[in-house]
This record gives sequence, structure tokens and C-alpha cells, in this order.
Amino acid sequence: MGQIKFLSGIFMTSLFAIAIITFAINFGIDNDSSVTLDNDPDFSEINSDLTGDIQTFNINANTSSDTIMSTTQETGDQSASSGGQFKVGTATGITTVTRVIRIGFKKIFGEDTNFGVVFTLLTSLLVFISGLYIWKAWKGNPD
Amino acid sequence: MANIYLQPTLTGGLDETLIEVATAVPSFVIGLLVFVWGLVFISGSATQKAKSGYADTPMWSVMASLSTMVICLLLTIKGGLINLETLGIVVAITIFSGLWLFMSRGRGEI
Repeated sequence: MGQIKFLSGIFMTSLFAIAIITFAINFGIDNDSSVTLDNDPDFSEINSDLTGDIQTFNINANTSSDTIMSTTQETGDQSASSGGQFKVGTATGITTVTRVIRIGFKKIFGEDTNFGVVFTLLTSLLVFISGLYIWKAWKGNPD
Repeated sequence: MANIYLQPTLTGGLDETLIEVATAVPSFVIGLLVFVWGLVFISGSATQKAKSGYADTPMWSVMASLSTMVICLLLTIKGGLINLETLGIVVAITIFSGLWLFMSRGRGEI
């Protein structure tokens, strides 16, 4: 799994979460259900947050693409000095998947801190993998 | 206008019975949802493995979660069968299954 697959998986997860939550909320509204997900503020909040993250990614990705299109390299240059164009999307992607994991743990395990270490490990691992992917795209294969 | 035949209420007694059972045994609905999830997940994975030699467990997890969520949503229409916490957990498990599916894909897969 490379960086493109990794980020695609993250954003597909975000879209999947938005689709599921929106469907569940609208099912309750359409059928005038006695119990509806619309009454849970956590899900409504994460739904709007994920949508905002994807809109942010849209702006950043287009800005970064413009930068890449206008990039020139002098003879002998081997890599961009900042590598900013390789970092776009990763931070937003990690934010979205962190929101998804957090809401999952909160709903399944509650606020119990004993399970918090699992959430911490998962998000830390994703950040670590993202760092390696950025480095790989920017400078080559890390050891 | 008088009807010569009155259609009986087919679910009139059944849904009341379900609600009475769910009230008397709160774990009944949860057990039913767990059964549906396990049935789809285990039978789907086992059948695929028997036929192709490979079981795509993340995909069957999503299939099982979606099946469970649809049943769970149907149970929310009438009050007394399911509560908001259970619905939230089912939706959370469905989203987690999606996370597992999309993060488990290799190159060239969906």
C-alpha cells in the first residue's frame, strides 16, 4: 500500500462514514422514527466536521496541484527544499480518520480511559506511517 | 359501504409481542443483532473460503454491519424496541468495518 492508496483509503473511509451517518439520520427523519440518530449530537457534529475536512482537502489539493504545475528545477536539483507539495492531504486525511476512530471508540467503549490507549496507538501509528510516506515521496525510500 | 371481508391486522399482535419481549428481556434485541451480524460474517466468510480458498473478511464485516444496521434502523420506527445508545454502537461498528475494509486493500483492489 503506497501513499496514494493510503490516502485514498482514508478519504474513502470518511465518505463511507458520512454516507452511513447521513443515511441513518435521514431514515429517522423520513420515517418519523421514535429513536433517531439525529438526537445524538456527536454524530451530527462529526458529520459536519468530516464534510468540512473534505472541503479543506479540496482547496489544499487544488492549490498544491497549481504549485506542482508551476514548479521548475534547475540542473542538478534533486528534490524540492520544502517538499510542501508532497505533504498536502496527509494532515487533513489523518484528521478525518482520527475523527472517525474517536467517535467509534466513544460510542463502543464510552469515555473509559482504559481503552484510550488503543485509540492513541492507532492514531499515532497512522501519523507515523504518514510521515514515512511523505519522506518516501519527497526524498526516496526510507530505511 | 359494508365490507364483506375485513382484512385482519397481520402485525397487530406481533409487534406488541416483540415490544413486550424487549421490555421484559432488554438483551433480546441486542442478541438478535449480534446473531444477524455473526450469521452474515461467519457464513459469508466460510462460504467464500470454501469456494475460492480465500475469505475477504473485511468485506464480509461490512456486509454484516450493513445488514445489522438496516435491521436496527427498522427497529427504531416503533418505540420500545431499541434505544439510542444501541443504535449509536451499531453505526459506530459499521463505520469501523468500513475503516477496516478501506485500510486493508492492497494494490489493484477496491
